[in-house]
Amino acid sequence: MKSLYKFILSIGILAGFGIEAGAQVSNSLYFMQGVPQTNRINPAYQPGCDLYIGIPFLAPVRTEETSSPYAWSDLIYPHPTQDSLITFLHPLGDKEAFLNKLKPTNYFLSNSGTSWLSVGFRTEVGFFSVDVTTRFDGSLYVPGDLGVLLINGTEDGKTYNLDGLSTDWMGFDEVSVGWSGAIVDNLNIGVRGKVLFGVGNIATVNSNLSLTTSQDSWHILSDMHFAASLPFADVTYDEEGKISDIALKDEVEDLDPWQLPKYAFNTRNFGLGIDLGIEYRPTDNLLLSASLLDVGYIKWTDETHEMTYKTEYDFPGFEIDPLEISDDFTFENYLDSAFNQIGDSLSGFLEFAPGGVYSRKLNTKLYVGASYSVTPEINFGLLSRTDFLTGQIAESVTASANFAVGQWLNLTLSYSYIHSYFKNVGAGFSIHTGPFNLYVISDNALNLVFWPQDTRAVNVWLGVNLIFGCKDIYRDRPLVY
Amino acid sequence: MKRQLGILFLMAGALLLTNCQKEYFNLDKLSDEVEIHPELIAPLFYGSLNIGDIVEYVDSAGYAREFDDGLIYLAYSDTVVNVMADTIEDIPNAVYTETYLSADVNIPEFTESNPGDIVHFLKNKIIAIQLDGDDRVDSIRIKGGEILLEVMSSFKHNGYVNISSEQILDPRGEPFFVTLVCSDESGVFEDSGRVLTDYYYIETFEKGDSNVIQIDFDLVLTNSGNPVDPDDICQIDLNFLDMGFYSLFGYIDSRNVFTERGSIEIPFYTENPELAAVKFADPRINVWITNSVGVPLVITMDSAISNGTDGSSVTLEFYEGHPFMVPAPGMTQIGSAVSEEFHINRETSNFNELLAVGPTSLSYKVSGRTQEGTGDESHFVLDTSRLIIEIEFLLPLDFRSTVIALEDTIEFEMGDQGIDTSMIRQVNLTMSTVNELPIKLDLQVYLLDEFYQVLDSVFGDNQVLLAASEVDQEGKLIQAGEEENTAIFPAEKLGKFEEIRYLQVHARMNTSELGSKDVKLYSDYSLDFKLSLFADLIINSRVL
Repeated sequence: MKSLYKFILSIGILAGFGIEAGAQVSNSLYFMQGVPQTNRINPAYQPGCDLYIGIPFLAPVRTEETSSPYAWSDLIYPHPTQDSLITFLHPLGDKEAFLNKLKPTNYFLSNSGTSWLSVGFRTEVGFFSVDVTTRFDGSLYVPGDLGVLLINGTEDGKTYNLDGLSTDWMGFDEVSVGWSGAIVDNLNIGVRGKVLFGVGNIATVNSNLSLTTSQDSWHILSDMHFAASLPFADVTYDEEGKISDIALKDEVEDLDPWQLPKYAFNTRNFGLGIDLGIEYRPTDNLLLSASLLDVGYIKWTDETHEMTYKTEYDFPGFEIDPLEISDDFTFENYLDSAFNQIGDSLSGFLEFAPGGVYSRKLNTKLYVGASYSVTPEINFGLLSRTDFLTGQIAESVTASANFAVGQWLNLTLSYSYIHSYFKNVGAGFSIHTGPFNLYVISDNALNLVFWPQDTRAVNVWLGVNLIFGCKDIYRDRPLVY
Repeated sequence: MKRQLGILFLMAGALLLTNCQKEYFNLDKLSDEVEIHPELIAPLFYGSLNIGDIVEYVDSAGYAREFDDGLIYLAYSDTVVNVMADTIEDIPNAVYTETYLSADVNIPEFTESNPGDIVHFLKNKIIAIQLDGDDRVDSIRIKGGEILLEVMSSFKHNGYVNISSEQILDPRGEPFFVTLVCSDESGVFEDSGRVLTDYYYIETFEKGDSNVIQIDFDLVLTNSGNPVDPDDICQIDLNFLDMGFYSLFGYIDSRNVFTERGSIEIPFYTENPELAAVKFADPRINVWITNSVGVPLVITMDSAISNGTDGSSVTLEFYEGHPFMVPAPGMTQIGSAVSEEFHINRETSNFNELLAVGPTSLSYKVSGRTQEGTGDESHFVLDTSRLIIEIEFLLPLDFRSTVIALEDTIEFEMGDQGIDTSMIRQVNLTMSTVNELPIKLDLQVYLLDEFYQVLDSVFGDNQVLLAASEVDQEGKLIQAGEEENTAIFPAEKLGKFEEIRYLQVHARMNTSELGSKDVKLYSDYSLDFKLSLFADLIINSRVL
């Protein structure tokens, strides 16, 4: 039982680690040399080889988990006097510190993806790339007052602002075609067009919720709207129009290979997107660049369902007529009845509706960077990344040092400010041996080594490619990639 | 190469440091204990009690009522007298006899007649309807009954007798007329007949000082040629039997009609002897008399005695308005009833003294007589006539009280588990009231163990639970009283609940302005209440 508890706790913490950035993108990759998939971050980027072919599902496989308020050590830390670990909820845990780290809105992001197909080749008119990627983006937004409410309870006369309590989960397949070319000698531009096929989605369209507590009444003000597209599930409504059951469709549960493509490339959940990039080299040593990624949306129309919860409810207590209490109608009977009435009242505001059409935009990201080459083997980069999340803007800054060790190894070390957290030290390497290319990059690699307990975000990119036509290019490569 | 060695050194160092951070991730050492200290403030219950509803709930016996203006009163009533008409008047059975002697028959018309001749012998009889005393009957509509006719004759002649009366009318309005065979040649004859008299009507006429009716007899004999012996006789008896009346008109002479004894229970004081200290502004006994008998009456209430809770008693003494003169419906109101209401109150009697003992019952003797000397000698009584006297002991809730102290001890047990205080540091229960009742209530509840030793109390000292409303000079509501009280239960006090076996409730009440003026309780007065909770909790996974 204890093991189960710890397992659940661990999973909960890990799952809650989400985010920030909204996409499974490593900042350190931006200035990394020798990685073909760098063009995912800046479409203007041209890999150093004439041709690359990504190994399916490994070019790349990537994940990123981020928690805006907490690191592991905020939740679990050593017992002050004993050889054991305690959580912040332990009697000796520092709950006040836990609450102090909460911001008005806190988010947990989970993004992962893998490419079925990743191919790039150079032509006379520029560099083309084709990718088919399955992406899964999830986010959970938690207002800080919710934590205060759950841990400290209710305070007289206080309003708990729970606006923004929401979650968004989106799984989709992305088919993209990119091009990068030189407009003039020192200016490259790039563009990637994306066709998106939504697999499933749970979205928070609107989330306004507040609770005011006092000894006179509890006041609930709610205007919440959720939408979902669940083509892979059978959703059953009861007589009152409420969802009574959700079950995977048999053909999905059986992983029927003939049926899965219609879910993977579901044209009824169709979307479009575009990535834009630019690189400008004002001098031989200096490279200025910028990219705008994931400008797009998916229009969800297949097996959609909506749920709204809109109410202004005042609970002044249970209305009681003591004269009604009798042997035939006891106080227990009364309480049962009262609770049922309140439950019915509150659930009565919950409305479900099948059908409907809604759109969800992708979380757009803006990169602006500059790198300076000290020698052909060494350059230093500075990158600003801005994530446009749901009702939030998240900013991170990364400084990196990139090294080329001969023809076969590229290294990068990075330092990032992410989610108001300064101790993000990343690293990555890319090995090139013959036609094989292997790279592993993380913005937090050294966090995991030196202070994993303080890490708020973890991202990892791993890729394996077959690359061709690189020899001359390596020899003649520009100072900075 | 040096550079590559440096990198390897760095990686080795990193692995070493990682090892150092294992202390954060060895989940086998993770304590599963969770403890939070939340506070909870929430409204619990609210409601409004209408005084009319409270009274109705408490008063299962139906003693509480309200006047048209909503003023509540308590009424303990009893039907003291319910007298039917036959108690006042009845018609006794009577026998009227007419006799034909030989001398009546042995007259020349008969002795000189030839055999086969028919001779009539006429007689009449004046009779008075016999009632009680000097009662006079003008007319009666007979209800039920019969006239039994019995004939005995020793005349040795065939004959019959016709009996008639102009004052007795059958239901069709025809005068009474009956023919009976009353004789034959054998000289030994007896016979009888009967006439059912329901709805017959008798109307008397004055003769001298009496009201009478006349009955005519016509004996008809056919001469058989036999002689009339000196001792021959023919006797005719008219038996008026089992007669009631639908209506009776005449004069009912003065006499005692009824005497009744009884007692009214007054649970108000029986159940709450402390309330003897309450001073009612307008207590009273209402006497309701309904009379449909066409005779005015005099009702006397003797020996009205209130019996107090302490065994003392007070006899009710009238200052005025007693005995009660009860009018009768007039000749134009036949079939109707007249009602009269008499009040026994502080002005007409020593009612205050009577209430001062906290009477648990009121015993009484009531008697009634017909009135004398009214000058009206035209009375009537119907078979539906009745006299009903009801007494109502009435306490309008218009009162004052300086102090009413109530105390009660009730059994109380939380069960073996008591209250689990491991999760509670303190609980506060706050009661807010808006009280339109002109009554202030101080309440204290003591927690007693099995030896009746006080463990603790629920409220602080001198805590007012309900503030009295403000009233005007007439005792009517001006402004509701508002009060907020908090009962604080720290864990220590809650821990004692396991030992509690009894709750001793001490309540002290007084009316507005310390009982210096009368206040009224109206049924639309309300008591609004609101109960809220503050709890300082400890929730620990080890004790869940």
